[in-house]
Amino acid sequence: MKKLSKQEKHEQCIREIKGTLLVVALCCLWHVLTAFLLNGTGLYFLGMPAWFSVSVFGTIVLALVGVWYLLKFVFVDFEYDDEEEEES
Amino acid sequence: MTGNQKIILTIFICYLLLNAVIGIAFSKKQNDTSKISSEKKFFIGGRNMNGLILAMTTMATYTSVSSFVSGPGAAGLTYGYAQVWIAAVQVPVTFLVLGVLGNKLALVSRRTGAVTVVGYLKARYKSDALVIVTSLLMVAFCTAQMIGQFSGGATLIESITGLNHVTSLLIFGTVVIVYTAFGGFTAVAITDTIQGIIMCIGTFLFLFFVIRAGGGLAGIDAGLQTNLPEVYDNLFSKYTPGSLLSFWVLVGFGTLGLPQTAVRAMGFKNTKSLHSAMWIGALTCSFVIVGMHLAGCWAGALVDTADLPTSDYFVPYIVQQIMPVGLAGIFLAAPMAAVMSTADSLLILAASAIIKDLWRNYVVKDDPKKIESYNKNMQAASTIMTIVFGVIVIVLTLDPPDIIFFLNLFAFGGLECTFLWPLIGGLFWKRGTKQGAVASAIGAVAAYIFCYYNVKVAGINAVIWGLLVGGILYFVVGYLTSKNGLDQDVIDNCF
Repeated sequence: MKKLSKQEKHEQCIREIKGTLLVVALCCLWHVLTAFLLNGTGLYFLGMPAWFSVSVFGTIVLALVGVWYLLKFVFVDFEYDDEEEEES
Repeated sequence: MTGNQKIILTIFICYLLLNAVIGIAFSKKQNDTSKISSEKKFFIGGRNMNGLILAMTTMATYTSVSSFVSGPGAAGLTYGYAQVWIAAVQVPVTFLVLGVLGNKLALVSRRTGAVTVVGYLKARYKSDALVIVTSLLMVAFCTAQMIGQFSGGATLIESITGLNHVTSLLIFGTVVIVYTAFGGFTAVAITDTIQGIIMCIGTFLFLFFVIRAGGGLAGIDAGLQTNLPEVYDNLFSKYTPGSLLSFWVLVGFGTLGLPQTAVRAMGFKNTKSLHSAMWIGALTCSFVIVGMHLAGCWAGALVDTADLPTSDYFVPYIVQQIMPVGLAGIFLAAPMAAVMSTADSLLILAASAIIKDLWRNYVVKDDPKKIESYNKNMQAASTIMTIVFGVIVIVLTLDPPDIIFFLNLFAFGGLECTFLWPLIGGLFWKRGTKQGAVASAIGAVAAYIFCYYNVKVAGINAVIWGLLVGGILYFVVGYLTSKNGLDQDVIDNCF
């Protein structure tokens, strides 16, 4: 567990927020683009219309991989210690 | 009432009582062992949630009657795969809310001592007008959303037991009110966790029995082509592209402004809890929300349900057709769990707005005698307020709307318009001022309600216009009124 200064905590929070928003934006893009582009093509995937299955299951996979990436490379463990002291 | 209905009702009542007993027992245990203030215990559970509880309470609060009854019902009866596609927008919601708000709100709420979202806004903007406006709007929209949840709970009991609406409503309402009133946030979080697990089991059961009854995916595919021929393979048959994209704001990015999920970011123990909650939340949210809607859509292949009064009756009806009675009872505890976990969170949110945000700030004020009395009686007052509020919602739900789905979404959008910009802007933009926050909350809600009834452009949801107006007001007014900068203590505590 890292001990960060107040400024470092703020910067870390901003980094985490940017990373999270990026992952969700990618999920959004995949979800919308694949569905809109594949709709009406008549293609099938996994026994369902491809606009649905590629879009929805792809979004789930992307979200789970995205969370793994965020927790592995972006988020860090740090202490809330100074805040807890002040609060009590 | 048939024999099967009696068995299901018995399972239901056991489940409801189990929730009430466990919730109150855990809350009492925490009260006996913890030395923190009763205010912090009742409204935020002592900032003590671990990863599993945080994930489950966030997911369970977010997934409601729409996720388990209305949405899957609409998918099976009318909208097909398009409704499941819309539901999939919610896959990232748990980790979006926790990833964006989690650490920042945890830090700021500890520094300022805030135990409610409005409490945070008060510390950040130091504006009485903002506290009053946001508290009143929160109570109004929470009431509307609670009517949807209570109505959903009653409809569920009514449709599977044959009891009349009022009796069903009283059974559901009484249990939720009792454990929320006497257990506070801890009871809500613990019961949400149980309910989240029940939801996962229920989703699995529903998927399994629908696939079995449909004869596998091939049989379901053929059935859907017959029962939903126009919508089966066309995303745009019932929805315009504009309305589909709107859902990414309404139930996607906009959820950052929901106070009932944001307040969870004030209640967890440490960063490890947050990180565990992010992946548990991503997994469970994906499985429960997409799984339930997908099973609901597939169930549309099984039977002709033209006689059902609304799509809200579809899931209870179909479950009784395809599941053995004992399992049907267990499954139907899942939508009940979804409804209860949202209703209890809204109930405690509304009670906190009245007791903590309004009563404490504007009746008790800084009078030492009143503060002493408030500290002594806060828990009792919160309990009474929760009961009073719950009874009011029951009375308002006696004559329920036909489609719970739309009432729920309306209130959902209203809460997002009220809170999104003051909350997010306040956390990350140093030029955000109280004038900008007040203008944003009022302007966004006014634009939302006006556009909800009057503006129909390409099927775009009114929440888009509301948030657009709110965002413009927040940043323009903030920019114009921030010449003198923020107070030093606001900068110290909030950034």
